[in-house]
Amino acid sequence: MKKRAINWLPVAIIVVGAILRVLSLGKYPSGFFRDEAALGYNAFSIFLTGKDEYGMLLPLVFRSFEVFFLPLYVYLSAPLIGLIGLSEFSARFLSAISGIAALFLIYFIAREVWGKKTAIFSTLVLAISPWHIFYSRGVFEGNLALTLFSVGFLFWIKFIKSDKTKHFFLSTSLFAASMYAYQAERVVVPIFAVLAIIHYFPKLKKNWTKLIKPSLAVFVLLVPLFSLTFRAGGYHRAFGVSVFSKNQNPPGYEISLSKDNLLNSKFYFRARQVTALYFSYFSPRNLFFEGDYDRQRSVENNSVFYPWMLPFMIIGIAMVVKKTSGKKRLLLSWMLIAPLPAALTGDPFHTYRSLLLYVPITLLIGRGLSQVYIESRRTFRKVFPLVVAGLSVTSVVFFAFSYFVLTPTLRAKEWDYGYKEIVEFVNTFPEDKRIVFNDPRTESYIHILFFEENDPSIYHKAVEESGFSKEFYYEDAEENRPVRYKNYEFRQVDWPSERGDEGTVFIMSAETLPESEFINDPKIELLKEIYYPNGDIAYRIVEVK
Amino acid sequence: MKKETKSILTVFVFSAIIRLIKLGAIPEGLSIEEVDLALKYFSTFGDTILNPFLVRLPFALFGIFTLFLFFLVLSLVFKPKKINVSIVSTLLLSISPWHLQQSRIYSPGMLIFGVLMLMIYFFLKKGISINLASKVLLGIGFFLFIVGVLSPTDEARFATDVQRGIARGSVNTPLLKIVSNKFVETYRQRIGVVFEGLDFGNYFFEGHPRERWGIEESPKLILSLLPLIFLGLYSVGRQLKKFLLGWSIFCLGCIFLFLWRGPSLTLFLVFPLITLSAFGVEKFWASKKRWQKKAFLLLAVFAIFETFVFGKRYIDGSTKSLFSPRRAIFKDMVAFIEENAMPGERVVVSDRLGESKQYFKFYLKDVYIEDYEFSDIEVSRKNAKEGLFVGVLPDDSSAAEPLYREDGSWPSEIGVLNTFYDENLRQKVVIYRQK
Repeated sequence: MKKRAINWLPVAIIVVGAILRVLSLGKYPSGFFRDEAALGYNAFSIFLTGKDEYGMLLPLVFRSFEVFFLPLYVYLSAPLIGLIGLSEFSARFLSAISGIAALFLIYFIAREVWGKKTAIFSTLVLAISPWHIFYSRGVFEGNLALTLFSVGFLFWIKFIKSDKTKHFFLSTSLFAASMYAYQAERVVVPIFAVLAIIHYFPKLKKNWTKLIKPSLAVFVLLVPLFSLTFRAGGYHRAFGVSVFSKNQNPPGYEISLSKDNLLNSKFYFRARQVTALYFSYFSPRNLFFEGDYDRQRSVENNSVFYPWMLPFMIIGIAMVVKKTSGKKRLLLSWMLIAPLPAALTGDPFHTYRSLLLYVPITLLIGRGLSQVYIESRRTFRKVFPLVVAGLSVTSVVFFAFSYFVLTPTLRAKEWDYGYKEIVEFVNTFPEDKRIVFNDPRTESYIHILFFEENDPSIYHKAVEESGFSKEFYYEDAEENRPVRYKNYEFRQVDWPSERGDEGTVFIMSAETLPESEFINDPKIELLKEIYYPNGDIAYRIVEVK
Repeated sequence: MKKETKSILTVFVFSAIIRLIKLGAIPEGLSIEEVDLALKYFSTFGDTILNPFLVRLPFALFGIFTLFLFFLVLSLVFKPKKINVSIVSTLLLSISPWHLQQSRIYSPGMLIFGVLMLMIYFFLKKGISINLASKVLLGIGFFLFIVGVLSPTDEARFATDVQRGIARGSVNTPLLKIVSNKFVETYRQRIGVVFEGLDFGNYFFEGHPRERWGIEESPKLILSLLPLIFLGLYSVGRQLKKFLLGWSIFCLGCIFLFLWRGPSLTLFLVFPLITLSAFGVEKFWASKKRWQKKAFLLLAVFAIFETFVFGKRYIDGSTKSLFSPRRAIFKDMVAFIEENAMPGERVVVSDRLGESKQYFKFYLKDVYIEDYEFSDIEVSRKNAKEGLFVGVLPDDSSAAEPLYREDGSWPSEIGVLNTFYDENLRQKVVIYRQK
């Protein structure tokens, strides 16, 4: 009976985890972030036309906002969106599926490395962890990349055990696929590959004849990605956020002192800065309490993991250090290199860029939990699972309150809340009505494209008319998107001079168009105010009569 | 004299020197706490006490005393053959930026640290075993934690009200009372302060990366100690591990209950960190492997380099943060005013300088300062013509300010005697008479 219960336990945990990732997926998170709209709309465009929003046929990267998103999420989402239609739910669905798949993967990985008990605990930790629920419920290509990397890792440890070529091929090709999903993997996977090769060199050498063909196949898979490396489309994003590219002196460096002063070495202070950023990804404060500094990338009152998991992580690390093996060393390597891409950017504790880090930490927490269970005296061993269950249930209840009640109200602005409501309203206007969005960064267009679900060829035409040349799609990273599309304009509004443009509808945020700017002007009619869930005014839609 | 005795005496003498040298001048400027403390004892010691060196001297002496206590405690905790670890620990503590900086300023945390060391010393001297001491510390720590949770704060009550306001209507009341209540919010607030103490950046870098360079008295420890701490954690014995754990839980319990933050009030956390790093040093030193000896040498060189970098920055005043409580402006400014004010002349000082009255009393060595008036209205707005004026113009001032001129010059109606820049509050100070 007990054995049957244990066999069903992972299934039950995965079911709960799946529910947490899929429940009201289209509604929560509240709002729809511009990156989500970009990936979702481009998938829609690919499905219908084979081209992205710029009209580029099957691009290697997606240029939206000059972010140059890696393509895999878009291409895998395209048939899903084609099947169920374009919506917040369909755009987010692939990430949710990736998250649910990860629950299975972590079970199998932990079982391969340690055994069933750790596998169950690790699955539980992942199922309820705030970071994984959060990133499974938004359009996050990094979550897909993480799942692919995890599968790659699983097949790698299977290959080490079995020597089967198919495991090798699956592992390497999935690692390669992860590099097509998110930028961080482009740094982590090659380093991980080198470490894995060094670590298992004798085994690889023994089987080298069998491994040539699959290696070549994977190499061919990566050729398109390599071809991008030295083009703006391949490096712009990395260079744009790198700590080295920002024209700032590192903290501690004194400009007034001589450059030759050994105690004022820029190299030393820069290295110190990067080291500080690297260590911040292992800081208990960030992992178990504070979380991501960006309000869009975190849940109110929650961090990456729950505070009670900290001592188990410490125990897990101690166990791995005490009794290490090849697989555990590889897992530790994964953990140590995972934050490198994030540490090289100037932003402190960016959870999305360091997403790869949290699977090894999850496994270590699971290991810690199972170690406490194993080492406990008989009486406590009976109680311990109940204690963990109690902590888990309590944590999930509090998390659910924060995620489904507090965060939608307090952080809707950070999730670009309001555009759906804007589109619903402006669609009531005649097609020739001039509508101007106050948008200096020209990013709101993507929400309009997404929520209107227009034929992509219409926007392709607007792109052509704006003078954009596909020749420079990968080469030129300068901002280049249409400011006009159908009857819409997306640009900075000069209100003092434009407030007299008769017949024009302006859509502006409440901060840029306070009530005082129009309330006493009989020529300006307030058509609608869009509210955030907390009652604050998000946008005002006014018409100049 | 035994070699160990010579070594520890050398450490104490060296520590005393680096704590006492230029004590009044480094760090530059006194904090309001230091000034208030001196003025409080004016009636006892007269104006002799109104001296930066003498104000800080008790803390420096107490800091040296805590090193002595630290050594004694470690000598009792470790076996006699581990005397070298005690000496190395004491040396590492004495040169740690954390303890050094706290020894040279007004630091209530230094007093707390010293009292705790004294208590532990007497317990161990009385024959109480380390095991028992560990359990007592652990027990007190958990007790403090429970008391903390059951002591709601005003901020927690406010946060609960806000959350319940948001959730009303969407979550049923019994459930809402469970997920949002003052005890939960109190726990959240207090645990946040504890987690500030569980951050690498807080100890080895200039604060949390999110806070960048804004943390006073940073860094606390040199980065070279980090691998030594990990090594020490690996090599230290079980009994001592329990003792250090008990100590840490006790400290975190105090932080949890009393919401102690900042480098002064959390100083007691230095004990386990330094002790572990000393064990790390011992492990390296005892190693027979050549590569480990080379690695240790490299680490030692780097540690010396880091210490010199810190030392230079500390002496130069570069470790000072944007939010430093130490006001360097007053010393020279008050000296200038004293020199240039005519006998019996009224001096009108803008209180935009912030708590300036106390600083003037201190530097003028006069607790009455009858000829001085401290105005909360910018002095340039007053209609008075006679007197010496100390006006203030913030960096981000608007054209509405009487002293403001677009070209950055001073108004022609005033005869400027001197100007100073107040770095703490980012404002220009001008000393003038009306023309």
